[in-house]
Amino acid sequence: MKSILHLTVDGAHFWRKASGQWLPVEAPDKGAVWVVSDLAEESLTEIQIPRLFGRDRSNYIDRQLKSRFPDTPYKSMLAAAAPTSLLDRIAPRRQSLLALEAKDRVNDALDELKADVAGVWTTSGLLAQLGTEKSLPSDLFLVMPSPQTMRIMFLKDRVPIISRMVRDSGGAVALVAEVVRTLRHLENTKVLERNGGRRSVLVLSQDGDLVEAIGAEQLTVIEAPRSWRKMTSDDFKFALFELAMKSPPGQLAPLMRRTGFIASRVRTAAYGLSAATACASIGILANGVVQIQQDQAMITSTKDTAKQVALELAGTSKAIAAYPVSVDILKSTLQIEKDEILAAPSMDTQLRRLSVAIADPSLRISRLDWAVNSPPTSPCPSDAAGAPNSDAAVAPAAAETVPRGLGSRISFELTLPAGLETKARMTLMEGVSQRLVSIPGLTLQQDPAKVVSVASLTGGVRKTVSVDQAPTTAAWCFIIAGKPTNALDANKAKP
Amino acid sequence: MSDLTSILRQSKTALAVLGGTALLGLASYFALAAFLQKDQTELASVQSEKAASETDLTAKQAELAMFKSNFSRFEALQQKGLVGVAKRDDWVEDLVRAHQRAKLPLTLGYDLLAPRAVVAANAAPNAGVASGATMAPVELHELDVSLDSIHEVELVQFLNRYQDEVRGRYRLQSCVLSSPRNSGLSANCRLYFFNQPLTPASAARTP
Repeated sequence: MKSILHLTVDGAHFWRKASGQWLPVEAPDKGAVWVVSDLAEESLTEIQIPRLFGRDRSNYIDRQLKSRFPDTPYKSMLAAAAPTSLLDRIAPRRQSLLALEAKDRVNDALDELKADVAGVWTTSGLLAQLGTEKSLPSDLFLVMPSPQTMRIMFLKDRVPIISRMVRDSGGAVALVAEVVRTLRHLENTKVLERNGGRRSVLVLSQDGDLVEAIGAEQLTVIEAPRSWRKMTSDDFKFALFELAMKSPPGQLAPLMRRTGFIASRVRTAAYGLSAATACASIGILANGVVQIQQDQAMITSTKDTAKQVALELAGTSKAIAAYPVSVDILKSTLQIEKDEILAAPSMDTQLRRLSVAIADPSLRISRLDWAVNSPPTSPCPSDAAGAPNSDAAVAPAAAETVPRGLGSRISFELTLPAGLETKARMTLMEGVSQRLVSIPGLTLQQDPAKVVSVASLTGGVRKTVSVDQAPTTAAWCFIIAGKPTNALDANKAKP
Repeated sequence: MSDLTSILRQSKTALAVLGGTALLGLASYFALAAFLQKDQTELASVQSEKAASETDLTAKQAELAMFKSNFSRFEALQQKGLVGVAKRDDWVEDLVRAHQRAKLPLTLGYDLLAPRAVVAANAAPNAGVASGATMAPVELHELDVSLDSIHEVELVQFLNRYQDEVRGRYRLQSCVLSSPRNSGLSANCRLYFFNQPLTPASAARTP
């Protein structure tokens, strides 16, 4: 249980909190002791610091502390109050220093103490800390009466300026006179302006006489913040004790005096970290073990599945091996049958259609050239694309949007009846051409009817073309597209 | 002894416990990580093997299904002479026999050229020349047939009869009918016989 050692002008007293109440005790309990002094030798000073950072700043402040308070090891700086900017928060230009110059008295008290010292705080430092409460005026007198003394402290812009301890020698009126004297001193030293209006005074006491006397001196008495009143019943020093127990900034004891306490903190932290590490390790291990078990289960399951697949594969391979040929030969054979033989057009069928298209017994075919259009070439013999009976290798069919079987290219020549007039020849040829283009898939590439219609026409007295001199043959050439491959059913085909 | 040393000395047991716990935790972590890594590697390997086997199985099942659905057709084509050793002599003899039976004028001329390897249109990736030593390429045998004094209908009937009788699979590639006379036309036709050898050795005659 935590205990407080309260060092006052009338001696050292131990306090301990039990059931929410601060009680005086003879000796501290087990555990560390927080020391709070309320002595006249508490010194406050403010220094100006260049804009230094880090170690330079702390070294500068250390040097200032050593030079200003060379005789005591109990010295420290207070936290900067209400920084206005980030830079002022990191490296404020004004810094309050605090020292407790009653070195021997404090040493004696600490030497007699058979407990670890958590730290030493002064009433001035703690009051300065409390005075930074935002609900309070920034310029404020703090008055804290004790049984034989009274602490008067003034904060300007929430920075402690002066801290005095006066002896209570004549009651409330005398004490208020000390407050007024302090105010006059601050006015004389130009810390405060004269006639600067009513100054705010916070009286940390339930003494009605004192409050009334202060109110009579053109000073405004303000109420303590509610949070402070909650911490204490009637004595405001308990509010200081509560604050000290939180180990706020402004601790004065050198490290030498606090080794036991810090070591206990280190031990607590180390054991805590050890426990956390052990818990984390156990958690990670447990999670890992679960993961390993899951992996092992998955490995076993995968191996079992792979074994089944292998068995099935062996069975399938065996079934395939029972066939006398490889699947490649099977595929190739079926492919050749489908793409090269069944997909080929029938000359028989196409000649029948052609004979229907000619449909004139007076016409005779003088030449007919029929070929599978693979590789695709021009059907017209006059074109330089190549002869139908080319020896070129049989190449794959040209790529089309709809896959089709092999087409055919046909050219033929008709012997026309002798003695036909030009118009009759034209009519005859146009009739053949019209019947040809009605054949599905046929693309006419050479039409003699069109050739004649755009050729020169000669007649009259200049030159007469006799009927005997007119051409006796007419030639057509065209291609017929193959059937779509999905129309070819290999299984129904005749082997 | 400095203050810091004093603090450390007073806390040495706790610090030792912390160090020990941390070391133990780290050792456990790394050991566990090693086990997990080993397991993951093994699992990945087993899964990879399984995936490969499944892929093989799918391919084999597809092959088997193909055999089941097409082998009777394949056997029929084999019977018909599309598969195996090309019976070139038979093709020619059958041609002559068909010509004799058709009682056509004795003007038949023929020329069966040496076979050459071809790649079928839409051929399977492993089929044909691309398969190299594992599978013989498809052979193409060109048979040029010439006839004189024949009418169109006779020619068609003759070719249809030949197709029915010959033990081989061919397609009529081209026909040129010319020189019309009272006795008939001259016909020059080219037939493409296709053949799938069963062994690469039989395809070694590729020119």
